[in-house]
Amino acid sequence: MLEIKDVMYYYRSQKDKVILNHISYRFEDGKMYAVLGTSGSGKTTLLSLLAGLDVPVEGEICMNGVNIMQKGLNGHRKKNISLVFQNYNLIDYLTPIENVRLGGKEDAIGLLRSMGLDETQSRRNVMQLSGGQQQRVAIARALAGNAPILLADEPTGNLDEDTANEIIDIFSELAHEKNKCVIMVTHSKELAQKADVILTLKKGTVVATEDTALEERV
Amino acid sequence: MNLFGLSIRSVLRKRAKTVLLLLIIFITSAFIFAGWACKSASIQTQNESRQAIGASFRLEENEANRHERMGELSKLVGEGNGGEGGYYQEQLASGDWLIWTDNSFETLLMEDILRIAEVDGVEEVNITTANTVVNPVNFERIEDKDVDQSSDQRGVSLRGTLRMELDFDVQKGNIEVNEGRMVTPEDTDVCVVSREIADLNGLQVGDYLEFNNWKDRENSNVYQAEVIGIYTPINGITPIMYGDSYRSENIIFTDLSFPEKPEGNEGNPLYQYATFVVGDVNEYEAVKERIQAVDIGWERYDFLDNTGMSDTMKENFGELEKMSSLILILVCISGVVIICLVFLFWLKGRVHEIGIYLSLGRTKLSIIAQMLLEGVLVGCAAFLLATAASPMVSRGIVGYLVDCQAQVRTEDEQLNANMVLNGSLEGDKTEIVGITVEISGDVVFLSGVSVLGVIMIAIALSCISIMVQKPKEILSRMS
Repeated sequence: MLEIKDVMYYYRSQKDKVILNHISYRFEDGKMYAVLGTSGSGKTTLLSLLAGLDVPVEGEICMNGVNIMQKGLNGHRKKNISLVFQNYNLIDYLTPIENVRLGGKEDAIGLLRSMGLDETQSRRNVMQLSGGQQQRVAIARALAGNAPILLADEPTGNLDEDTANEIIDIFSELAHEKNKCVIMVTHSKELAQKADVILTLKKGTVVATEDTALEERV
Repeated sequence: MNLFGLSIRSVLRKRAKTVLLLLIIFITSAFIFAGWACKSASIQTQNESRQAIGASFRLEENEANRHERMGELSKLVGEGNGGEGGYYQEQLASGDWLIWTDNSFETLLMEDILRIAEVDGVEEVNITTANTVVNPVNFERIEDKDVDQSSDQRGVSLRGTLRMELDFDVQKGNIEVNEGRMVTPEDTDVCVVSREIADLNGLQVGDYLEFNNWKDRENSNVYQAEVIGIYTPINGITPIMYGDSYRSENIIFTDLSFPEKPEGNEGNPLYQYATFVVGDVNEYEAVKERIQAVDIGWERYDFLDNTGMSDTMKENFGELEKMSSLILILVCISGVVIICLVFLFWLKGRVHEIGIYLSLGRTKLSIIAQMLLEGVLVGCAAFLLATAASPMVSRGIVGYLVDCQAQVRTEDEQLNANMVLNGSLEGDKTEIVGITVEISGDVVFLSGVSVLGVIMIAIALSCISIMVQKPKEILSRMS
C-alpha cells in the first residue's frame, strides 16, 4: 500500500510556484488509478515522487507504512515500483527479451508471450518493433520485477485508439487479477473511465476523486 | 542481466561509437607506448674517431649522465656559491652563474677500469688522459704566425698514456714513432714529441722538456720530462678544439701521471678513455658480455666495441628522456581531454538510457561502472592493437625525436664553429647509425597502466554530470 501524507513540492528556484500543495492520499493494492489533470497540474511530479525519483519538500511517502526514504530511493524503485512511459523507454541495443530481463528475473519469454509477442519478435532488435509492441515490451519489463506498484506516465499517448484500449485492458487485468496497484497518468478522460478510481489534480491539489467501480456497482 | 553482459552488448551493438572510441584510444595508446619506449630506447652512435680500435673495447664518459650528475650536484649545492663532488658554481656580479668542474668530476674512475681489466679475456689495458694544455717552459711550440694568438692558451697539449702502443692514434696509424721508443707503464716523467717540435727546438732523445701551468707561467712549479721518442704525423692527430695549443704537432705524449703535475692537479688525474684489448679475437663477444656483467655504475659510461658502436647503458641523447616524459604527459592529458569530450558527447546521447536504468532502480554508481567497463573493454582491444603497432610507431617517433635533436646539435655546432676555442671540430662528428626501441614487458605494463588510468580518469570526469543530476532531472531531459 502506497500512501502520500501531506506532500508539498515546489522547485527550490521558484518557491512561490507550488507544484503540489499538501496532498494526502492512499493507493491500495488491486486497484487501478487514473490521475487526470491539465498540463502543469502536478501529475508527473506526483508520479516522480511516488516512484522515488524525487523527494517532497514537505510531507512523506510511505510504502506499507514505512517512509520510502528510510530504505533508500533506489531500493524503493527496484523493489516496489515498475515504471511505464509514454515513449516506451526501451534500451535500443537490447532485444525485447534482454530489455525484459533488465526488469527482473521472471521468465522473459513467457511474459512477452503473455503480452502477445512471439519468440521471433522477442529476439529482434527492440527498435524494429511497432509502437504498440514496444509498449507491450515495456509493460512486460515492468512486470518482470514483480513490483506491487505499477506507475504509468501517459502510457497510451503514442498509440492508436485500439492499441491504447488493449494496453489499458492489460493494466486493468494486472490490477484486478494480479493484485497490483496501477497508477496511470493520462489526459484522456475516456481511458480514465476504465480505472477504478480517478484522481483529478488542479494547481497542485486533488480537486476530485471518483470511484468508478462504486458507481458501476450502484 | 549483469554489468558485463550489458557492457559487452553496448560495445558490440553500438558499432559506430565503439569504432570511434577504439580509434581514439588506439592513437592515445600508441603514443603512450612510444613515450615509454622512448625512455628505454638506446641510440647507437658512431664517432669517426672511435672507429678501428681493433679487437678491443673503449670506455668513456657518458655525456647525458654527466649532465645528470651536474644537475644533481647543483641541487645539493643549492642557490649560493660553492661546490660539491667536483662541481662548482659561483654567481658573477652580472648575476650570471659561472659553473665549472674539476678532474675528480670528469675522470673515468680508476677502480671501475681496474675491475673491467680483471675480466677474463681482457689481455691489456690502456688509459689515456684528456689533452691537458700546459705552458712550454724551455722550448718553442709550433705556431701559426698569421693567426691572432691572444685568445689561445699559448701552450702545448699533454696526452698521458699508460701504453702508448695502444693509443688510438698510434693504432689507427695517424702517427708513427720513428725515433726512440713509446711510453710504457713503467715510465715516469717521460714524453714523446712530434718531429716538428723536435726540429724546431733541436731536440733529441734523452733531452728534457720543462712544463708548468699556463695560467701562472711565472710562479707555478716547473716539471721536467725526458724525451724518449719522436713521432712523425702520418695523417695527423685530429685536434679536439680550435687553436694552436691543440694542433696536431703540439700534442706531446707522456706517461699517465705526468699531465696532472704541471697543470697543478697532482693526485687528481683526468682519465678520458680506457681501452681493453681482447686476447683471443674469437672470444670477442663473450668477453664483451662478461665486461657488461661487471657490477659498476654503467650509467656513467659509454662502452664502445670495435665497430665504433656504443652499447651504452643509458641513451646517448640526454634530452630524449625529457622529451619522452613530455610526450607522455602531453599524450596523457590530451587523451584524458579527448576521451572525456567523446564520453560527454555520448552521455548526452545516452541520457535516455541512463534515465531508463535509474527508473529501473539501478544506482548511479552502477551505471557509471557500466560506462567504465565499456571504456575498459574498448581500451583493451585498442591496447592490443597498439601493442602490435608499437614497435613501428615507437621507432618512428624515437627516430623523429633523435633527428630533431641531431638537427639542434648540428645547428649548435655551426654556431660554435665561429667561436675560437669553444667549437668541437667537424672531424669528430657523431653519427647516428641505429636506434633500438625495445618493447619490453615493463614498457607494456607501464603503457597498459597509463592507458587504463587515462580511460578511467576521462570517463570518471565525464560522468560527473550524471552524479550531480537528480534522477528526475535526467528523466525530464529524456522526455
